[in-house]
Amino acid sequence: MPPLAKGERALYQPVPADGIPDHLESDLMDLAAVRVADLRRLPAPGAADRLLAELRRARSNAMGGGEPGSGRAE
Amino acid sequence: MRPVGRSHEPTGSDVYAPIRMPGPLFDEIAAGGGSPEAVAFLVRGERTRRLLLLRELLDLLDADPGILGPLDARTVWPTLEAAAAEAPEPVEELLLSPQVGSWLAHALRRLHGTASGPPLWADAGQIAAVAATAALHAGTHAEVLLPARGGAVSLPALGTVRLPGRNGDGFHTVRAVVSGGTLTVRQAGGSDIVVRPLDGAESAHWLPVRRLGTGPGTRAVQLDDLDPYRDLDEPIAPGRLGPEELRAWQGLFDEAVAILRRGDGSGPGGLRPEEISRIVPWRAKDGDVGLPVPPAGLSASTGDAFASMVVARPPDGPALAETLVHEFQHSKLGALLHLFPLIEDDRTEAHYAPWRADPRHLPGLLHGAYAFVGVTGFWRERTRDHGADPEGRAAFLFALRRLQTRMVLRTLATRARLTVPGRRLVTRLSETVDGWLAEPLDPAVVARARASAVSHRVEWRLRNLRCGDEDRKALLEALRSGSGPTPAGPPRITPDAGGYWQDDRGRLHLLGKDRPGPAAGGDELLVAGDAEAARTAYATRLAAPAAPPTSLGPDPHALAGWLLAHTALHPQDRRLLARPERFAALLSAAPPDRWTWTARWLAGGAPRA
Repeated sequence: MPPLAKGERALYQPVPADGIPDHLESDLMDLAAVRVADLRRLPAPGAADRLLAELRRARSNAMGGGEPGSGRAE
Repeated sequence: MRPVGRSHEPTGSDVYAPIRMPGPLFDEIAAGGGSPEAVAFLVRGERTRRLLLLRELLDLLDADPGILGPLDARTVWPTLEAAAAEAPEPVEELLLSPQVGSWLAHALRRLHGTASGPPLWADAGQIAAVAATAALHAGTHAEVLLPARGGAVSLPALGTVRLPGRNGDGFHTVRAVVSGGTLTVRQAGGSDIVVRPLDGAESAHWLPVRRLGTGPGTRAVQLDDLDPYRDLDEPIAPGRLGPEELRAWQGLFDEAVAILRRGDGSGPGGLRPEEISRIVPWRAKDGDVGLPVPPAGLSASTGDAFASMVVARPPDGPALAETLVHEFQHSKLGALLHLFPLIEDDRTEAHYAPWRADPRHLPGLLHGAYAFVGVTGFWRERTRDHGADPEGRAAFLFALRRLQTRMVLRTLATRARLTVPGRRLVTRLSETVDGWLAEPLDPAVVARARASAVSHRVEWRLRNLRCGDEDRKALLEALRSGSGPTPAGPPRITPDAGGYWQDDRGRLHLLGKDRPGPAAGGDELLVAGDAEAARTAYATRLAAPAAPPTSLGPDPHALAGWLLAHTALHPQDRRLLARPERFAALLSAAPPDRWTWTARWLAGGAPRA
């Protein structure tokens, strides 16, 4: 097994909790109970750095210019 | 999954708990399939992502309302908020639509400077159209300024308002009033345009999004030829399908749905059609002449728009069904990646992907493996479904894809830096494919699939890899001096790797023709089992003055064929196929009449000169 990335084990090791013997914990805060209308009344959820960093990566189009890679992305 | 109380000045980490995915649901997705509950969990994660992105965008617009230029920034959030309070469910559905997903992600990339597009105010200003659409669903009242492109105002997942007398492609604002499910566009100096987007039929002023039925009581799938954000990132113009094209899509989709309904929707390779949100028809344009693939096979998707896919119209229903399965796999993996980092983001394009012409990076390989586990499972199901496989190719495709997918999973398991969830994913996928590899198939079909897999890999290496310089020097010196071949070093990627090529031998293996015609070339002879004649045909092609060496060296297709024919005649030399680029490196020092001897020497089977 290749070595884990720094800090990975602490963040992503499945840990028993809430009576669920096996679950995987995300680094995203759960907004399941937040209504759209309440979105701006609650504190900023935070801890979405990874999500935003991934989102900001440049993309290419399939139709509107640029090359779609090779037909299917994979 | 609920906020866990408030403190005096709560912060995000005080108020929210992390998303926790039950292991059994993760394993269902990780094995390549997914029950309705498992897919619903992914959708729940997507909802959280959309809320986070919407909050981010609203905060950015608050910080700089000037971004929206001529639009009225003050009306946007109150309109959306009022609609969401009045009718949470349809507004939730709107937020989860692929149109809003793609636009929201694109708008944030625009603001971050990693995407381009129309004037920023119009791009970011689509939020006003989202708010107006929410008000339409909720039946609330709103007065908003909307961005328009030429004569089109786009309402996400509903359709397009057409403005008369507006030609060209320029961006401008229109004033609109929403009330009781009706949208009225006020025109300066002209009469108002009134449309009912929720239930209005197509008219001079209204183009609704088309929908493809999936069966009684199940959600229809959008066939979106209108929305500006229906491509993978930057906005594009509407491209309304004509009646014939629309009928063709409906027919293909009906056929694909019937095929998918005959299978197990929850296992790897299965798909419940109603879980697809949208199909975007892809059409070749004049400017697509230089596409790196034939347009007929093109399909694509983005993690920004869960369950949506761009698809070129395929030739038949089974092909569409396979494509839907393939692209939905990407959506599931994209959603899983939003929840958990699975693999270190190493973007070095160096690895073999059997479904591509070029070298691929490891995250791409993971996407490919996940998609092709779905495709493999799809063809496995079709081996028992003759209605979807009239030409009897399912067994071959199942045999081929299970081999290729397993190879890639092995690469991921040994070469990629996987997180704990990532390793669990690769392990579950491998278990799925290992189970399939143990299933009996006609030995002749298995042999054909194996030959096809090897052929693709050998040609891929000759096209994309070169013997390392030191390795090549040492090998040439050994050949000249008459000593044994030197150990192999690491290959290097060719500078011009990545060009598209068609796997012609693979196509012949699929067809399974065992009787070559009178004018058969090397490929036909090889696939038919006449290795001697094939080797001669390939040698002739390689020596022909009409086919001089390319920048890739000797014609890689013919050279791969020559090696495949040689190793069919000398099975003990099969090790040559593992690193065919080493044989290619020797050709400059070996005249054609010495190739067989050179090949035998490199494989360790020839006597020293």
